Amino acid sequence: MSQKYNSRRKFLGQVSCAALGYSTIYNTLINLKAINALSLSNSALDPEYKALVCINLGGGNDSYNMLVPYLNSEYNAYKKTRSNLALNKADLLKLKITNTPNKEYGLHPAMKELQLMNDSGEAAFIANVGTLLAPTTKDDFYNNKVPLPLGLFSHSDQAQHWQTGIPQSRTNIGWGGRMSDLINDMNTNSKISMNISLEGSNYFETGNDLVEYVVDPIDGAVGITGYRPDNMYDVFNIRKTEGIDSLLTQTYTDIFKKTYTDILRNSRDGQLQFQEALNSAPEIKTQFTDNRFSKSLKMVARIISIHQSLGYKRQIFYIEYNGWDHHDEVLNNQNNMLGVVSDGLKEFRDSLVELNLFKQVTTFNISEFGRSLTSNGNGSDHAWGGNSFVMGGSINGSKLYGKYPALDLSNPYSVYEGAIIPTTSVDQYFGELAQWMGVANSDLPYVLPNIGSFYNINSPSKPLGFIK
Amino acid sequence: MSLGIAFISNLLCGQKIILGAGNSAQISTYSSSNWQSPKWKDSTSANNTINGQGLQAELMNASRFLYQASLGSSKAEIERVANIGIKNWIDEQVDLKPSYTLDELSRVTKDVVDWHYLNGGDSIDEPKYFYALHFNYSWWNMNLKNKDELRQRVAYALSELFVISANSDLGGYANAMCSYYDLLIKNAFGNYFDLLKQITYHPSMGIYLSHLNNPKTDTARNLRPDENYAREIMQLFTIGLFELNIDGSLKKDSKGNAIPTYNQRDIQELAKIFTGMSFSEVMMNPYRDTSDFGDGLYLGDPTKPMKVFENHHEPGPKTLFGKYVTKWPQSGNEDIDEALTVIFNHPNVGPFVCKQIIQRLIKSNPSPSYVARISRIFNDDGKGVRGNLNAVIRAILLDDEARTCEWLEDENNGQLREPIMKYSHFVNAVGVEQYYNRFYNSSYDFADKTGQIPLHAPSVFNFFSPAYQAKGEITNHNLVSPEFQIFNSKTSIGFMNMVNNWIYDYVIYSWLDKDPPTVLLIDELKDLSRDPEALLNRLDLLLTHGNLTDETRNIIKTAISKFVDRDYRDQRVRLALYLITISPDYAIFK
Repeated sequence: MSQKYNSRRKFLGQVSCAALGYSTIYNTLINLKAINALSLSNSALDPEYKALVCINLGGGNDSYNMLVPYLNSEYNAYKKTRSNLALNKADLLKLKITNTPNKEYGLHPAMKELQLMNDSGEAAFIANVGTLLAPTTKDDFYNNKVPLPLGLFSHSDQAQHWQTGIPQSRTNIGWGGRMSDLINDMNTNSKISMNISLEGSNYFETGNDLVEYVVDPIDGAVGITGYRPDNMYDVFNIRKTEGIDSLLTQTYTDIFKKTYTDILRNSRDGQLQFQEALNSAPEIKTQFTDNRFSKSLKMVARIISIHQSLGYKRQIFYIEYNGWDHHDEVLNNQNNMLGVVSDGLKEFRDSLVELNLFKQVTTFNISEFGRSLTSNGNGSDHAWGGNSFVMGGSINGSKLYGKYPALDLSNPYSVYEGAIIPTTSVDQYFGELAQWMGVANSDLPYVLPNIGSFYNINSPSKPLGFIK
Repeated sequence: MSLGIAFISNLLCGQKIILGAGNSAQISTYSSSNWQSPKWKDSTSANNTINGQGLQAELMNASRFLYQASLGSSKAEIERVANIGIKNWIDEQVDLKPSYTLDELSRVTKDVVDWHYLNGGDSIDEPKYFYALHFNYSWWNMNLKNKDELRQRVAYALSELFVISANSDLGGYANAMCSYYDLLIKNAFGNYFDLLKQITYHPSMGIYLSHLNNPKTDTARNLRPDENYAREIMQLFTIGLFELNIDGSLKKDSKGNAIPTYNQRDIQELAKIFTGMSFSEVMMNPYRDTSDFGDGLYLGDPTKPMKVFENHHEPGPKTLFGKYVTKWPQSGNEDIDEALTVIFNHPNVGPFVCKQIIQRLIKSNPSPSYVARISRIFNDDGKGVRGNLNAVIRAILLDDEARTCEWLEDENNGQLREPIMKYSHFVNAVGVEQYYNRFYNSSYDFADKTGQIPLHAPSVFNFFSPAYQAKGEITNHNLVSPEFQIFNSKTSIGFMNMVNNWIYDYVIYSWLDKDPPTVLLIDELKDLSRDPEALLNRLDLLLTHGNLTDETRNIIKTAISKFVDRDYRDQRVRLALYLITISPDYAIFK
């Protein structure tokens, strides 16, 4: 694999124009034509292309009900602790897990498709993962022996930390963004960020050089109505276009006005290029369910299908599926929502197989925290460690990575009433994804400053091993 | 010398300049032609300009003030403020009878039912369920008719601080949303403690943050109280995560670290306080007349405050903030009252809350001394009362930092107008009509395109964080820019396209097929439009409050002056409205 990126010195103290295109609209169109001409003469697929797709289950997925211990003794401990929130054992989907010889695990009954992907080696799970600053025990926790993430159990803080990988402070720069700072040189597109969000601004994709490019799950990149009309008699829109272009050509010294026009200008330039490429993309035959989550994944698949014509070797996608803060009605709601996730993942998988890009796209799941094992009546509260899934053709699947904890409340990692201290750090989880995207081990600390506390970057082995 | 109605920066801030020899040097003028009509008062004739009427400084001041103090005001209201003065206007506003969304909802539902029968519907399928859509109808209809503008502006700001959202079970119940919003309207000039208490007891908050039907500890069944409300009332509604100085800056310990205001144990203790609460009344139903602990939203009345069911309330004293032990025995209501009193008296409340209200109404980055001045008034209104919102709102609006020239020109001054403020301001300032006077706006298209409509935030963290920093200049200057969190490649252009609808077609789409849409009233603007300067002067007054720059003015003038054909007036007005509303001079409120 070629790792064509400059040293990270490049972005230190240097502001790149990559995210904020300043060239004129004509340049954009000329470039686009050149790129399109190129794409016609080449194959549609770049064998070196890779994309990461981050699925954020916002609100805190109750993931100890997504992945459940299946052996009787362990299931019984689960059932006792979770009380009226425990799933029936008979309903669980038993998973084929090949690396935990003395343990068995079941998946939530709504996730049939994910079960099938796991069992065929295309998906895997990361157990009890969460934000940490150092390996932490119950004694460390209660007696302040190690530093702890800021704002544990708080949505806003933990959601931010999962996305920044820096839980000791509140920073706006995300680990996906820092990763893109390092690898964006592999891309030839200077107009549209390699980081694409289906939801809006997010920490994960915000780098020192790049910010995310936001697209709509259904409309794609949103264009300006009436801009540059085809009809030469549409005088109103011709004047309007001139007015818009003049407003965006103006230089503004005011901090807020400059920020406003930079975003607007970048949006206009990016959209023209983006939509042109998308319009010429082949139709995806895989059927997607009619909900926002599935539609978002379909849009990602469509964008991935035009990576070559847009000039990308690396892309990062961000999808949010919110509403997991199940203080109430966790059983019913989760049953619906995990089904949506599972079906969407399968559809996405099928579309990538159709595009012959399944090996080149890795999908992973984040969520700000697991939830308390104990019940508050018919829901669960904010907690800490939780379980995540990964999916893709490069996944070393049918396996469980990290340590799944015992779920009795006397277990050594249970604090308060059923929060579990993570035994795998997000740094290990994300570090392996960054390696796969082409970040050298020596650069991992730039992406994940705390990784040294959990992984020796000089080690020849991978942090967890879930990628082949 | 040809004189136009000028934007005169010295005057904008209210300093009167005596006109006469030697003073004209400070006045920049705009005039595009010598043509004028005697009946058009905004035309750029010399004698119409430099006189009491034409000197627009007071009007520009009033316009800028009204953007801070209302959800958008008409030219008539701008003139009234210029006449009676800001202080008098505030007095007047505070005394006005509040208008409420629940009253509006009863009109909306009557119209919906009437429409059903008018169109041949029968009684079997008479509409019975009213949901978020009907809250939206009510909100907009009221917003285009109400007189209590300041109260409504404050209520909207509070709805972004004490967030509930239709993106929850509440979305199915218009009355639950309206009743909650009315609580914010009612208490906009009240006391913060009463506001906090009523929010705590409101079933909509109880549903949204799940302290409705919150059980006490049951060790046998491994059940413990829900922590959701206990956490968010501290993190978001009162004190925040870290101890603050009175100016809103972080207190530091001896090692220079921020000092957390509470820990997980404190949350678990406070969670015990908010137990045993459920609906106090039931909706009409065939089963029973009284409510019970455990009732759901389909049965309980979400417009009546919750009550405490003592046998479901956690017994025993609770330790708040690790040191304050609540009394026991006492009733659940007394328990809640005691805990709210402890929280309310935390020194963080003033700076934490006041800074955010300033950020909503005035600017993204208030100076520490501005925050401190307002926090002191929150702590004591001068008569020994803590939490007097009437005093706080007045002080925020009348503060030098909100009013004076010096601050207007400060390089850190500014705020990206949030989408809903642009929409609401635009329709109120320009003026709209619907033949039957029904402004029933679903606004879901607007929400999808721009990311915002009232009471529809994605989470309790509102549409954006008060600490969000946009990349680039904002971050480099270590400023915050909350509204930029929802301004991106999708929503920036999405908003432009909404404006395109407004100027071309409709500002509010037909709520029902046979009812006409709401459209702009632009007759008066068309009268002005023969002279582009006159039109721009008017739009500057209505929309940019005197802050339209020469550059933007020239760009718009160039674009619209080319229209000279039959319907040129119409085209000039529509394009000028479009360009000014997407221009940075409008988008950034200074």
